[in-house]
Amino acid sequence: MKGVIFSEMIRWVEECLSPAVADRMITGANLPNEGSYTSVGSYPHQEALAMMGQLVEITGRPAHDLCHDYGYWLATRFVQLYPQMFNGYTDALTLLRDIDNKHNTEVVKLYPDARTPAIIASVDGEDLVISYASHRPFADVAWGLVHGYIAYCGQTAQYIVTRDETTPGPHAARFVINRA
Amino acid sequence: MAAGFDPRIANLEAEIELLSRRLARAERARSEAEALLEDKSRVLANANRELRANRELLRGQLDQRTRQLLDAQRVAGFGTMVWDVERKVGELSPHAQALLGMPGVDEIDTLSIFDHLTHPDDRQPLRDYATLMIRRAVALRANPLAEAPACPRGHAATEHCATCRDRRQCDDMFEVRIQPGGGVERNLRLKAQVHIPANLGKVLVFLTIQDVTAELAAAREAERLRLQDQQRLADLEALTRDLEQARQAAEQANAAKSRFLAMMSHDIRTPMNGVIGMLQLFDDAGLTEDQRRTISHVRASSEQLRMLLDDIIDLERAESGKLTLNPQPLGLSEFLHDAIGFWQKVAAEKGLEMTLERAAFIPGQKLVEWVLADRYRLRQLVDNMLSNAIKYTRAGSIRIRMGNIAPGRARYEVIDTGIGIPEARRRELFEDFGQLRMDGVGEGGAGLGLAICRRIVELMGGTIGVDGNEDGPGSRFWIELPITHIPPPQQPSRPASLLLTRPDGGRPRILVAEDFETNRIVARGLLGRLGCDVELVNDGEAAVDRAAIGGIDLVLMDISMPVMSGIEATRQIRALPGPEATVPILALSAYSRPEELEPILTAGACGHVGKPIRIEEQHMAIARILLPGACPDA
Repeated sequence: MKGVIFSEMIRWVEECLSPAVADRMITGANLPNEGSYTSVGSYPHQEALAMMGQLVEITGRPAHDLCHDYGYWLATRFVQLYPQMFNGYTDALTLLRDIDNKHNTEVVKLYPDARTPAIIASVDGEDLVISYASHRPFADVAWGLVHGYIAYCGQTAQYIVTRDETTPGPHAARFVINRA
Repeated sequence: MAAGFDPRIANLEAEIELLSRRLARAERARSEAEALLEDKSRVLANANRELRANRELLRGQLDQRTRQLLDAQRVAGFGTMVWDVERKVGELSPHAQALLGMPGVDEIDTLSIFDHLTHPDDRQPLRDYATLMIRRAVALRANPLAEAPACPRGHAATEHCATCRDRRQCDDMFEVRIQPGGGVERNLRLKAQVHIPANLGKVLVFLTIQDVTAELAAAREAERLRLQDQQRLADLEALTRDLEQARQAAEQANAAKSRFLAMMSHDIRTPMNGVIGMLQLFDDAGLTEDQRRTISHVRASSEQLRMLLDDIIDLERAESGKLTLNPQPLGLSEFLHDAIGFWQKVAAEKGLEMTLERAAFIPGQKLVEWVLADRYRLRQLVDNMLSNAIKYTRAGSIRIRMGNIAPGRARYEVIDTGIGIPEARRRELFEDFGQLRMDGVGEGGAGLGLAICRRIVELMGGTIGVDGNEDGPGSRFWIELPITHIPPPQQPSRPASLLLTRPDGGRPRILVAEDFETNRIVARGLLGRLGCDVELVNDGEAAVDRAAIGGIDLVLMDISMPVMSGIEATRQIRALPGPEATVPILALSAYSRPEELEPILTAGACGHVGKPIRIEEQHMAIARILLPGACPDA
C-alpha cells in the first residue's frame, strides 16, 4: 500500500489527538520500521491495520468510526497534496463520478505498481452509486472520503449519502448519493 | 520522590523524548525517501539513455530504408512526386528529377512547370488529370467517406485504399510524352493516388513516374510483327486452302482413274481367266517340243497379265482402304510347292535354276509348318517376287529361302543373280508405279507389283526390303512377317493319283453353275481330268432345279450369274426338302475376298475355289469336300 496512507495516518493522529497518542500507537503496533514512513514508499497494509488496532485500544472507539474519520480528514489532505486533480470541481457528484476514471488513472501514472481499489461510479436516475471493492479492508476509509469530498465542495447540506448495509465486510461497500 | 523534583521538568523530558523519537522517525523516513528518489532518478536516467539510443537506431533505420527506397526507385525505373495539396508544394525523388530532366530540383511549387516539357497534344489532358486528382484529394479531405469524383476516362475506383481502408482512390494511369531539356522525346507513365496520412493531418497526392519509352516501342514492334504474322498466316491459310483444293481435285482424278483401271481390269480378267483355264487343258504329253515351249510362254505371259490385272484392282482397293486379310489354316510345304512349282517351270524355260531352301535363319529356331495366313495374299507376294526375279535375271539362279528368325516371326528371301539394283534407288521400288527404268534390261511393266506387296506386308504387320546379293551380282528381296503357329488340322493326305473318287469308290458327279461359256469348258475339261462326271448349267435357277433331282456329289457355284445369282441359288438348295439340301457347294470366285465370299458362305456354301481354276488347287479343294462331314453347312 502506498506510503502516503501510513504517513498521513500518523499525521492525522498527531493533529486530531496528539503526538503522544501517535507515539503510543506506533510503539504499540510494534512496526518493523518503527513508524518511519515516507509518502513515496510502499508498505504492507497489515502495518496500517496494526496501527488502527492500537488506536482502538488507546481511544476505546470502534475501528469503523476511526476509519471513517480518517477518510474524512484524508479527503482534505488529498486536495492539499494533489491540487491539480481537484481543480475546476465545484460539484461533489461530478468529482465522485470521476474518481475512478480520472483519479485512479493519475495514481497509477505516478505509481505504476499501485494496486488501487476498484471504484465504479454509475448514475442511476438522479442518484450516483459508487461501488468499492478492494483486497484491503478499508471500505470505511472510502466511506469517510466520500463524506470528505462532499464537505470539500461545501455541499454537505445538499446531498444525502447512504451506505448499503447489505454489502458485507470491510472489503466492499456501496454508497448511494442523492440530493437532499 | 527526591526533594526538589519538578513535575514540569519530568513532562518536559518526556516531551523531549517524544520529539526525539518523532525526529528520528522523520529522519529515517527522509533518508528512505531520498534513497527511493535516487533509485528513481537512476531508473529515469537509464530510461533516458535507452530512449536516446533507440531514437538514433530508429533514425539510422529510417535513413537506410529511405536509401533503399530511392535505390529501388532507380533500379525499377520509377520516380515519385508527393504533392501537398494544401501547401501546394511537391517533392521530387532523385530519379523523378532525372526522368523529368530537372536535376537538383527536389521541390516544386507549381504543376505548370511541366507544361514546357510536355508534348503540346498532351498538355491539356495532363492538366485535366492533375485537376482531377487534386479535386479528388480535396473532396476526400472534406469527407473521407464520400464517393470519389469519377475518373474522366471511365476507370473504376478501387474499393478501398490499402493504406487508409476507407478512403477511395482511382487507380487510373496516364501516359504523357515529354521532351526533357528539349532532347529526345520520352514516354512517361503517371499513376496518382490520393493519400491522407492518419497522423499528419494533411492531404497528399502520391504520383509515380515511370519511363515506358522502351516498353511502348517494344509493344509497337510486337504489334507490327503480330499484324505481319497475321497477314502471313492468312496468306498461308489461303495457300493451304488452294493446295487442299488442288490435292482433293488430284485425289478425285486419281480415284476416278483407279476406278476406271479397276473396272477395265475386272472386265479383262474374265476372258483372261478363260485363256489361262484353256491353257491348262492342253495335254503337254501330246505336244511337240516347240509347241510345248510356245504354250509355256503363253502360260507365263498370261499369268503375268493376270497378276498385273490383280495388282491394278488391289491398288484401287488399297487406296480406298478396302485391302483386307482373310487368315485361314495354311500348310507351308503344300503352299510353297504349289506356288513355286509353276514359277520353276517358267524359270526352267529361261534356263534359270530355281531352288527352295527351308531353314532357320537363326540357329535353334524351329521350322513351323502350319500357320494362320491369307493364302491368296501370300500367293500374291510369292508370285510377284518370283515373277520379278525371273524377269530381271538373264542367267544364273534364283534361290528362295524361308525360315524363322525369331519365335513368331518368319523371313522369306528371293536371291537372284540378275541385274541388281543401285542402293540409292532401292527405296523407290516399293512406291506406286515405281518400276526402275534401266537400259536394255527387263520387259517393262506397270511397276505396281512391289508397291502392292509393300501394302500387303504392312497390312500383315511385317516389313519388306531389298539388299544386294552378298554372293555376287543380283538382288536379295526379303519379307519379314509375324506368323501365328497352329497345330496341324485334319487333312486328307495328298492322293498319289490325280483321280478323285467318291467314298464308295465311284466317280464323283459334279454340277458346275457358270454363265461364262469358256469357264464352263475349262471346268468340264479340268474336272474330267480329275475323273469326275460333270454337268453344266448356265444360271442359278437351273442349278437349283438340277440339285433338286439329286445324285450330285458337289456343286461348283459361280457367284454372279444371270436369272438367279449363286448366292440365292445356294440359299434355295439349302431350303430343298430331303437329302438334296445337304449337297456340298463350293463357290467359284475370281477374287477370294472376304466381303465377296461372305454372302454365299452365309447362304450355305462350304468353301470356295478361285478362278481361273488351277488344277492342283481344285483337286485339293474337291478332295477335302468329298470327305464325309467335311462340309458342316451341308
